[in-house]
Amino acid sequence: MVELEKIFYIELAGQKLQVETATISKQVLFHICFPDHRKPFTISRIYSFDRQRFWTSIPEGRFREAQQIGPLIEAYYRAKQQIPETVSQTAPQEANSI
Amino acid sequence: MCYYSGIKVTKEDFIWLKGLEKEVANYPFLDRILINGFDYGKIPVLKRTEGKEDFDIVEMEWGFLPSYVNTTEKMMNHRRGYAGADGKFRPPLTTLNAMSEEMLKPGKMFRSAALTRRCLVLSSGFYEWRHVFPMGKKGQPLKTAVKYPHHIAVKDRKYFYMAGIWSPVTYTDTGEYAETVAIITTAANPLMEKIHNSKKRMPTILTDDLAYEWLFGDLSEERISEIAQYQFPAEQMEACTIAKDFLSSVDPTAHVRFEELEALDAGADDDKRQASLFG
Repeated sequence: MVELEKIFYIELAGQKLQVETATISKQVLFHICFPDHRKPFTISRIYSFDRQRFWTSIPEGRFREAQQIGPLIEAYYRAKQQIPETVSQTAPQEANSI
Repeated sequence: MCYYSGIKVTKEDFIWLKGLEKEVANYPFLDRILINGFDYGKIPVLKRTEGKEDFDIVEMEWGFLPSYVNTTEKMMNHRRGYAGADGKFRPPLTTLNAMSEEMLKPGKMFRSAALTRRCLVLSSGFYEWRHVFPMGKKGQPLKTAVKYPHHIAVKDRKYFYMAGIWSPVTYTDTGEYAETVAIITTAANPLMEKIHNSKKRMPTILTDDLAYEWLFGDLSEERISEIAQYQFPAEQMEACTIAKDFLSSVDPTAHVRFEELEALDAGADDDKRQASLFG
């Protein structure tokens, strides 16, 4: 398992977003802070009923932003050739790699 | 079957996610990008729970407001300055920091807070500028300094404590309640003398034991003063130069080497410094 970075930055539409990583109840979460007045929020990648994985905000309500930012986090790690593994609450046997 | 964010999930997962929401709500995320004091933004603070040996992690506005600032207009005047009745500009009062040597003196705006409302400011690192005066053609130092920003942190610590004092305010014009905080400063240690060479000051960084005492101790004025003036050892700190435009850079803590700048030595070996505080 690759160690996740505690805090890193990604870019979205020319803006620098701060991403803070936390592991809560064995689930890896990413807390996003914006340079403008948008409220920070938390996203994670979880399993749907039919075993598809999707990005969501936690709590619910900012799904579109999660869908937009989540892939940037994946791209960040891919660019570093570090594909972190997270543990899913439903399928610990299946490494929930980003 | 249940839905989470519009996606079908199992009942088991739904319940688990709802539980996760509660944990997320209570998790002490930093909730703020790189903090610039002059934005008067909020910073994470450990505040004692009244009457208990326990604390809450709260956010306070960085920029202490004394008790006489009780309207939003007075607050703006205090922080931004204003034109007086005579038309002359009254400059803002900068109360981001409180000098440890001065704060307890009679009549000082910080005195009451230092005696009764001490807190700890949680930090992962801070920034200071080193002033270097280039030499002119005749070999004399020029009057205008070149400023090199540095990122300073505590070795092997993701977070550390700075001594702080806080003040509550309820604005009488809006009814809004806020808590404001100032970071205590002390004389610079040998490392900070080199970096913050214009003022030779540094925040009062506390060891875990001193932090505990600062927050929970029933302290005499003498002891408050002693702790406030504590000088964290330079050997336990690390520093590196960073980009001059770090405030707008993607990673403000990324090390940038300036060939013309004399290296910091003891306690601040640039080569040993991690590329990032969080690296």
